[in-house]
Amino acid sequence: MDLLYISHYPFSAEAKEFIRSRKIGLGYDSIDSAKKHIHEAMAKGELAKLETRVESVLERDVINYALARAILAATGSRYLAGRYAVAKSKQIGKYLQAEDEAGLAKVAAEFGAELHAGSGGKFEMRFPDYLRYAPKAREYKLVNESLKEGRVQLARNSLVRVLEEAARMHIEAAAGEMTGAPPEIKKAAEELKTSLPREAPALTKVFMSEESYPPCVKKLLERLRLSDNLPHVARFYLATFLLNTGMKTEDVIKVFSTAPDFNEATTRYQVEYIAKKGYKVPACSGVESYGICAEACRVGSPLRYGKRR
Amino acid sequence: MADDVQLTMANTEEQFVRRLFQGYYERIDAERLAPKEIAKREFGVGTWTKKIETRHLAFKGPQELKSYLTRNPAFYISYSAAYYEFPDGRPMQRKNWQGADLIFDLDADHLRLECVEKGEHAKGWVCGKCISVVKDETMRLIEEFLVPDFGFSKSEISVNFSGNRGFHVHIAGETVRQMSGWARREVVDYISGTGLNDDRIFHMDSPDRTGPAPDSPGWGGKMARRLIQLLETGKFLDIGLEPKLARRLLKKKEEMTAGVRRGKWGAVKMTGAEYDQLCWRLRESASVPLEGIEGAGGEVDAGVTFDVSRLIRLPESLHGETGLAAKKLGRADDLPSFDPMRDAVVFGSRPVRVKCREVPKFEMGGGEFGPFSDEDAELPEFAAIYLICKRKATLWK
Repeated sequence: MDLLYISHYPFSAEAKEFIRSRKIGLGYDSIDSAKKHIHEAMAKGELAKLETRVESVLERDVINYALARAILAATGSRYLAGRYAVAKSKQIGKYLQAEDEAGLAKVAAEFGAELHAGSGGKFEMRFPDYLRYAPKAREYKLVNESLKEGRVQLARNSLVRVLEEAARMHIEAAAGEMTGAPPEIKKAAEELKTSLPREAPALTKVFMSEESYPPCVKKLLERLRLSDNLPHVARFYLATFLLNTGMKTEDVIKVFSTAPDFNEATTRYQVEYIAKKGYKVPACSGVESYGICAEACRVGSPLRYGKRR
Repeated sequence: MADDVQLTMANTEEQFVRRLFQGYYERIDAERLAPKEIAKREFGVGTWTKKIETRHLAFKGPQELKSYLTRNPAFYISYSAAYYEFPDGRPMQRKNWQGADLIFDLDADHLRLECVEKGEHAKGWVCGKCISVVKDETMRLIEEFLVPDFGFSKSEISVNFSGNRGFHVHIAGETVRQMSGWARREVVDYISGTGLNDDRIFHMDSPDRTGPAPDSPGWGGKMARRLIQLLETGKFLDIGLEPKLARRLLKKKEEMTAGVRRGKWGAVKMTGAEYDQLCWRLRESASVPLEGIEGAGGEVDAGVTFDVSRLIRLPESLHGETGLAAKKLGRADDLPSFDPMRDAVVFGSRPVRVKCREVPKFEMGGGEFGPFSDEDAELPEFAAIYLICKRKATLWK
């Protein structure tokens, strides 16, 4: 049993086996430790790397992860589960940075993705696996990748980012599976809900003339309010749309404050960049190609919605 | 004798077509008509006036499908690319989606057709030239994208005529079955070149203008190969390049070709805007327009690929707008020699008298017919049903 691997990648088959074989106690210490772990993730939006090899610390870390997910599932809050998944996957990304080729291949295999060595130190991944796990961002669009014989060639950094996203999806998705939680977990979830905002703290209310927005924009705003983790392209589109309707940069940033991975500095940088570049709102065909068209309202351009009717 | 019966009966076109369709479904081999894993598919059928009137149908096996069609000869029948646990469940969520084939729909409607632009025939009509344009695009989809880039083998790819103006490409198998709608959308974007970022391929700031070489993977290689091909044939105007720029490229044809072979695109000095124009045109001409071309009108049907619960024409079934069969091709390589007006004809040549409206000259089943202009004509059954289905003729009563 490789405890270091298990603690770095607690979603792995080995880690699951470890958790199963360990009768995890739900005593005060365990629960308290898991709660601290969650608080740390929520506060910073990312977890630091564990630099230790001390076995008891590594074990505690794996157990924290397992309990944290059970507790988060019991809170029923998408915001909390999403924010934890982001924080934990960022930590996993840091571990992945340090892996050699065999290490990366092993982690990829945990997600059912087969890796092959490509030319020039690159990695090859089958395209359906790539499409499943690559961040839904412009930078990762398949059309811009080197695709040959069914395999996408990836530089090391891109591969690490893809695996980090796979981990995030995994952690977030399984969080909703908990039913009939033990009383200790339920109690911890209740405590967590009172001590942490169950929903994202919207900085302040932003006035929006939402009725006149097209269905795609309304849908994205609704998902944001539910603290859904919107893909990058969706955020880019939403920011571009809002800026083009004349909304101030400050207000656009506030709109994003309910995202589970909200970080004011990053959001500010990106929104200001979009404003500075003066990006135009894409045509409906573009919105469709981002996969965020919500309804075939056939207006041609989202900005035209409501004006023609 | 049969003629007399037909002539004396007060027959409507709809009844006439239905009876012939019924005969076809009585004759057909049920196994050939049934899609793979038929019990997991949803079916939809259409009427004389509506392509899909009823959905959420399910059949346990080939015989059940055949017997349904002989009792209710549908004018259109489609099935789901998707596999469901409960294909007749409603609403959609109850079906329990288990995966789907990957399907591409190439239709003359989506393409820019010279014959339509030149006014040789109306948009709804289809001629040999239209079909050959769609065939070329379909071959390009297979030869330039599905095989070399996506790594499918030709034996995994099955092609069938749509029954009207296009071809459908089906890929089944574990590789594609679980792909999400998003993933399928990305495949469409790849093939149509949507969202291609030239800055990832060209480094215009470098002194010798570094770009892709013909053997570069992905879109870079495609653009380099396309440029070399155009330098050879000189057909830059066909892809819509400005004549001035085309002349300058051709003037330095050798240097430019030799350069691009090594991934150096600087032999002809171009402004940023000219580079953009060249890249745009190369991309446009090397892609397969699954999206439909703006301005060419028609129904845009990339949705067939990424909508994971869409229904698509059942191969070997009849198309109510033509009376032709959605014929399966034996192999993808048979496509160039496939002629729908010969190979998808399933009705006989018994003479039928019809009143024709405006009909351009057309070839079908080895014969040549028309043009007609508001006149009576005696046509073989297959040609009569074709015009009747296209609403270009009525029965002589």
